[in-house]
Amino acid sequence: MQPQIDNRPENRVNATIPPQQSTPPPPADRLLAVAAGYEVPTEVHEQVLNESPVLEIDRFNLWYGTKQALHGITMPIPDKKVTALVGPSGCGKSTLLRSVNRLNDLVQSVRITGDMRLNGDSIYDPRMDVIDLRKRMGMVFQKPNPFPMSIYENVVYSLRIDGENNRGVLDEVCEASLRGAALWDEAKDRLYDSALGLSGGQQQRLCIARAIAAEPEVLLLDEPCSALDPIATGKVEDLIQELRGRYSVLIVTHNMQQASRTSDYTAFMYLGRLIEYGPTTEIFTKPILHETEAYVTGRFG
Amino acid sequence: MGSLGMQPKSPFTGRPRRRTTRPWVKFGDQLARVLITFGGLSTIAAVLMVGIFLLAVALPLFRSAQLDFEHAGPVAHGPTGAFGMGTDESGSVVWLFAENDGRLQVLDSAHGESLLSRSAADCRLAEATAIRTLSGTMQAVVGYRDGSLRVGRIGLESTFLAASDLPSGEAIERGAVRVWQDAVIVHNPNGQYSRVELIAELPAHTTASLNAQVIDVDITPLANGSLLAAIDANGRVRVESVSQRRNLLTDAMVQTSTGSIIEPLISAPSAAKEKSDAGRMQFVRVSELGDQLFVMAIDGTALRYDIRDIEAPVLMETFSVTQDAVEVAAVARLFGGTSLAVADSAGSVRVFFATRAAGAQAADGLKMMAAKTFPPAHSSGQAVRITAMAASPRSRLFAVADSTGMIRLLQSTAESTVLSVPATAAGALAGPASQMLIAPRENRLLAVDATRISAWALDAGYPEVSPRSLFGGVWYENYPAAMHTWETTGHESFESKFGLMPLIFGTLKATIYAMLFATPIAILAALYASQFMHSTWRARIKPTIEMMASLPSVVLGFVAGLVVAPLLEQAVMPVITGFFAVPLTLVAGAHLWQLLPAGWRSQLSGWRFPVIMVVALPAGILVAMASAGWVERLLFQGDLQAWLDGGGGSGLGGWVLALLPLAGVATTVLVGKIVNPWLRRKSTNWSQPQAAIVSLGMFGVGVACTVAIAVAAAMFLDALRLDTRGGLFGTYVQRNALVVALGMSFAIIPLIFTIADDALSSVPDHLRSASLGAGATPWQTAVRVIMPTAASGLFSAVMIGLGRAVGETMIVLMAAGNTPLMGWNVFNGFQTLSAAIATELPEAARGSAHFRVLFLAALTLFAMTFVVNTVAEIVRQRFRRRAHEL
Repeated sequence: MQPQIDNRPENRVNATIPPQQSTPPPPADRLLAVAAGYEVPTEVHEQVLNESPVLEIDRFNLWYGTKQALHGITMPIPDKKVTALVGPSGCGKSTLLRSVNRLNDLVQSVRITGDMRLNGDSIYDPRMDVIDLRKRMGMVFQKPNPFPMSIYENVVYSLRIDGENNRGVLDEVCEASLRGAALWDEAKDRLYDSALGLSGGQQQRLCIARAIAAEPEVLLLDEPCSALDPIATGKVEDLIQELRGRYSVLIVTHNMQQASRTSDYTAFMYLGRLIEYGPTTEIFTKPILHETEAYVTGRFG
Repeated sequence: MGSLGMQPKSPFTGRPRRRTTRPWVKFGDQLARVLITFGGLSTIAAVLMVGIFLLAVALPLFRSAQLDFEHAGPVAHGPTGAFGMGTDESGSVVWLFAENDGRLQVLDSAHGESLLSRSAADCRLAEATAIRTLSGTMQAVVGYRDGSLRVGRIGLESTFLAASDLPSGEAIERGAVRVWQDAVIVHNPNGQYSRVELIAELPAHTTASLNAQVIDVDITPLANGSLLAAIDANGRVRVESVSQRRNLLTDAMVQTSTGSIIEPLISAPSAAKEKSDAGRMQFVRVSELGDQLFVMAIDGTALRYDIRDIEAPVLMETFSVTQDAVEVAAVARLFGGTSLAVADSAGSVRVFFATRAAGAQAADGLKMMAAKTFPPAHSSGQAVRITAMAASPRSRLFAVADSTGMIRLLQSTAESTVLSVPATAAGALAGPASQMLIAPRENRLLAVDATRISAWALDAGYPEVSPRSLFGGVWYENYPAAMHTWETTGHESFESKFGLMPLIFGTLKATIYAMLFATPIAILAALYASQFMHSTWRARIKPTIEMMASLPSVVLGFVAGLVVAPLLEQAVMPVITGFFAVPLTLVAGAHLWQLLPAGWRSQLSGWRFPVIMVVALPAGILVAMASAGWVERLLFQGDLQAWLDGGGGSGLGGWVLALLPLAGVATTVLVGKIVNPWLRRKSTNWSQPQAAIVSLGMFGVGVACTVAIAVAAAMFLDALRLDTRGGLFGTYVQRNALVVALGMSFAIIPLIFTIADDALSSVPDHLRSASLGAGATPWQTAVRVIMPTAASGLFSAVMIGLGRAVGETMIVLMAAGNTPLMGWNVFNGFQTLSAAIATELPEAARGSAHFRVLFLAALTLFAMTFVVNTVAEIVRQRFRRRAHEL
């Protein structure tokens, strides 16, 4: 075990100058500048802008009460690619993800400005039916959350709520989705048993099967492996690899290796701001900012 | 790191930590453990003790009766001539008169010693041929060989003595008696002293005489005198009402009597029978109220007269009291009412009384029915003949003796043989008993045969109560058939009706109607509050509803019984239409809400609840009030209460009301299964306002379909001549199940609401997010994910509500009318176990059957709530195991 080096950002920030009244120049370090409340530009790699986007996030701000959690996020999410959101805890990755399918509507103090567009349709248009919107996305959460019903019913939940009761259709979708989530072989003999009897990794793959059964335009994964052991994590990561090219995936992760292994693009966020966004290989090997490099190589965070 | 393990580290916080637990912490831990264990065990013990206490009080109801032989002694008594016998109030001293013995003597009933004796002539009992005395009032009627009759008093009169009034010196043991002067001092087993005097006053002959020897007499007390009946050897019957009044001037008793003679009645048409005496009338009995006269022949032919006009008796009916030509052996009038126990020579006993039966030919619409039958004790070849029968003066218990020497104690109400002992065993009687007597306190049984008298100490127990009489139907006197009845007070207290079924039924009725009303409201309210209501409103509503739970139930009962019930009586129809109109208006309002422009809807979403309360609810009430009039005209001929009373009109309206909810459910299912999927496929490209208009239209069509289905089904059922009146509906009574349901819902809705709301709110948020994230509507999320996950909590909420409803007392006491009826009529009253206990226990005599049956009712209630709670807990655990895996 290595000796502990106290390089946590808050401690480092603590050591720096507090923001001063006489508008001093922003610190050279962008992260320090962000912490001190300065606006910093986002570094977006050229390659990202060449992709055709499935989701466009446009100057998106979000407040919890009076506290601003997202600051002017602008980023296109490429179609049929895996995009990873990385950044230290509390940087707003999950908030951004939950804003995509408007789950933040449930939090009553939330206020937003800016917009997001899913294949050109404004997500925050008042005329947008949020239920219809969510039917176009699938979401997998940090903690496996199968419903207390059978595996089969879990998978076909999105069809059930659309009123689909044709057994043939349901069976077909169930098998396809479970195969897609690499769970078919383990679950095919116990489809009608409670989903709660599955192991944690299996439950998470079931949740992915449930999400892809709805044929989503975007699949949102919110730290899908954080509650799983390494073996289950490996399986889920393999799954994400397989989904690449078929679905547009937006994944939040804490795990740099996971981001580098699974994603095509990586966005680095810090304290509610998008710092750098580009192809994963570039972000991990030759990022524009040394702060990004410091983070992805584990020097802080 | 490992190398650092054992080294003493400098304190990081500047304060070293103790590494042993302080003794007082350990002590506190132990103390808490002991206290918690003690508390838990005490709770279990306390609950068990309650059950055991109730059981201990109720259990003696089922103990068996006991008859212990005390003594036997000689007595002179020939086969013919009058015989009379009676005891004092405590049963310690017995008087005995046998005409051929020629004296009236007083015996110590426990030991048989002769205490006092008076000659027959002194008592004007010489030449007596028939005697009947009443044990309490000592009223007596005596018939003589010459056909004359005397009324007066014969018996033992007790006056209580203080210990200081006792005669000199010698102490009297408990249970013993002493002769003192011309009376007897009794020290009864309870420790009281009384002076017992022999009374034999037969002042004067009555006005009219019969022609021949009197063979049977009967007497019953009237308000200021007595009513007597006598029959002579020729079959002439004399009924007479004798009243005594004190002359205010002379202070002398004046006896006046009126009556009539009923001419010889020979029942059988054949002369042969007359010769054999079988057809001649031999027994005469009057009912206790003095309104009916029964005359019976040996062959079992019996006549019932209405003697309310004593000077003009009217023959009501002729009936037979025996079967298969066996002869009548003995007749006894049972305590209270008009029941006659008739024993026949084949050994069976039947109890007859007049009831309003179908096929009654008599002018008064009554018919004598053989309601109870006691088969002969021995069915083997030996001929068993009943030789004597005696009824208890305080209950429906009676004793029969038969020719095999057996004495049986029978209970008429329970139709049971209480016990059976051989009277000839252990040196008691020499042969079959010819006369018997049950002492007034049912503490002693005396039997006489040709030569001996024998006494038994009697402990009858509670023979009128048996599992069958408690939980099965019992044919009570004057009832048309066996019924479940609870009636313990009032004029019929001579035969208390301890049927617990009406009370259990009432408890279930109160529970079911209250739960039917309260559960949907409470669960849906909790669902709305936890899933849909804006949090600021929820924060205000929830404490308000919880405050409702703290309303004392006596206040709720008062409001329900004395405020709501009279108002409801005036407005039954609007309330009924309200049950349908209010929910429909709310749903229609939801559809109209969808028609608002999208921007408005999202802006106003926080104001949905006040809009419902201020607009939709009053609108629903207005619709209910407006539609009440024409619904009443359309379905109930313009007068619901008259219709409920059975006042004409077809049964259509009732069926429509009863079937509307079912039709609504059927329509909803049909729409959900068939129309909605089709509509969904069609509507994929519709705009939101278009879809809203279509769904509003669908709702309208659905309502119309529901009404059409209900009316069609109602017409079909009505055409089959079926009617809801007599079942679900019936005569409107002011305090009824609907009022109770309304009142009780105030008590149980807050309870169910609070627990259900907590259960629904505690469903993990990630499940809700997952469902919403999958594109489910909040309603789909609530029904498909939240409710199944919270099932254990919802179930226990309902069960706790149920437990409260089962045991609820004050509300049902004040609002249910306390009429122990069995019937599902929503508009009729009932009585619950709890209400019966609350009203009757303070008035029940301690240790009486009534008292113990009320404890049994309490035990039943205890068992019911125990079962409900246990089942609830088991089911809840099952649900919970599932929920725990989340």
